[in-house]
Amino acid sequence: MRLPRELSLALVTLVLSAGLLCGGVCAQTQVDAALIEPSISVAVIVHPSVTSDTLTRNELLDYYTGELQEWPDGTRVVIKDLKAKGPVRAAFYEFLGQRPSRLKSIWLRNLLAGEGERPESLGDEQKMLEVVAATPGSIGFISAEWVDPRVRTIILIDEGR
Amino acid sequence: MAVVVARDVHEVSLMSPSLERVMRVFLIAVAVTTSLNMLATEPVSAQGQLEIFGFFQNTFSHTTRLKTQFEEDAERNSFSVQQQNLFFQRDLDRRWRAFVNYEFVNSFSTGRQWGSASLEEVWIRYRAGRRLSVKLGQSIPAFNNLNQIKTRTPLLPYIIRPLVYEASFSDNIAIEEYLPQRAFIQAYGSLPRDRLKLDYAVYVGNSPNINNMPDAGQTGVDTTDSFLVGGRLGLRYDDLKAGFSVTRDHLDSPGTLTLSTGETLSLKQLTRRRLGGDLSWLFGDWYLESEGIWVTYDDDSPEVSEDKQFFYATLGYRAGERLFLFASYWHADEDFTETVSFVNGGSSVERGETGIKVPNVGASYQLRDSVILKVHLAQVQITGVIPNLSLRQDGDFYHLSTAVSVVF
Repeated sequence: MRLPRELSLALVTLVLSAGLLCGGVCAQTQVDAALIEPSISVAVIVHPSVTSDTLTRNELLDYYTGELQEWPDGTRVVIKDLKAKGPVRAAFYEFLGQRPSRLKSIWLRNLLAGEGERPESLGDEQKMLEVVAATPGSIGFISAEWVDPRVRTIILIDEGR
Repeated sequence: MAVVVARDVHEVSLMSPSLERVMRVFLIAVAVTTSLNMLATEPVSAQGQLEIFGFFQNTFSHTTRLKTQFEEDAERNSFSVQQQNLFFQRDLDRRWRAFVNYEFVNSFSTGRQWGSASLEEVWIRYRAGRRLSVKLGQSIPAFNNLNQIKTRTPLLPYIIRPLVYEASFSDNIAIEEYLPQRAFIQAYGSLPRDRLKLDYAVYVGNSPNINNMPDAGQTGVDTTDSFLVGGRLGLRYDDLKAGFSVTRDHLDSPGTLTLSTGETLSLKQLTRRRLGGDLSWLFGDWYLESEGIWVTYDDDSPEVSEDKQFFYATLGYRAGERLFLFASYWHADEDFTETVSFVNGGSSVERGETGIKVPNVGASYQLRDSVILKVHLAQVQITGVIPNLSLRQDGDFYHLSTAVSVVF
């Protein structure tokens, strides 16, 4: 098969056009979703054994990208992700300033380089609460209304306020 | 045989021998200190579980005929297991990790004598924190953007990797000359200051052995007293990343070159320097990534040259969470020096140039977290010139590939 130059250019144009079109549609969908979301409070929670009182957004990002793998007292950080799409997950990722696909890519890179692990992805907030409460050094996120004394809130993300 | 000699002895040195010695001493000191530190301070603790995981990439590729003014190669359509890697990993305690990486390429089979298998990485890592980690054992050196992840196909949108990173181009490009392949002590880390991070890596390894020349006695054992020494220094600010890399080693080739003066040039201890620069930037849904690599050799003969340059730039666009599209351009230029024999019995040493340009486009689609589909179209344009003999050869072909990349 010999692909003439014109056909190659046509393929390039087609691929990029499809991407831009799809990207535009996807971006519009995200904007629409953001507009209709009610305000929500998301709590970044940790196991009670974690000694840190609070985190900055950059520190949280460093923990979630695997750059920081230990709490200041040396305990290993165990990050948890939420599988279910929804406003809580969206608010958390927006606070981090990252798309889920970007973090997944970083986790995969860490895994394949022998530098880290992919976090456990939990099915719902109830499960997240139970796992963080039961796992020393763990950090996760749930809707603030779900927080109970078994975990400690380290960041409160007030979306839309 | 294409020999590898530099153009000019007076080229600016990227790393002086004294600096090389300092780096070697530093790295060995770090390795010893790290080991002693571990022995002195770490109690024996429960080991983590042995983890076994890996990935593979299966491809279907169609390659059009390589057309030149002299010949046409066969057209090819082929399925293949392009690559499969198997990792074994175990945390020995909270700071020490052992890691082994076996790699199988091109539908590896000993029975059919297909492909190859190799032990790519075998290291133990001590992580003091983000500021310092040390790998002892065979590891892949940090060099520009891609060197350390060039074999991790699920991380790359490409099916055919940018020229010097693509093992299947080794017939056309001396890929091991562009990139450091193996380090044996590597220290690296990241020094943060607010949102700005300074990344560093320094390493030492063997001088390279020409492992595709078993007749010349290459065994994987470095019989020289020279080392590969190199490193990378980079800056990150959020999603903007830039850095430069440098290495110094010796060619360690068993070949010699007879110059027109009758002088014989040994290639055993020829010093080679690599300089790399990398830039990547994620801005919204757009992603830009580029690299340059320059390779030079120390030689005292102006009539020979084998300098090399490589450049690539990729512009990508993320269309939603799953689809990534890219357009990329790769360009490699190599000087070469060869002894040309004539039909009348004479011969001469001639300098020439080979150029390879590859404009290409592709897409990857994340079907599931661990399954990625890819498509990639590349036009490969090859040019070879020996100016003194007015020889020129041009050829080009297209390469269309589809692939599924799976992490398990």
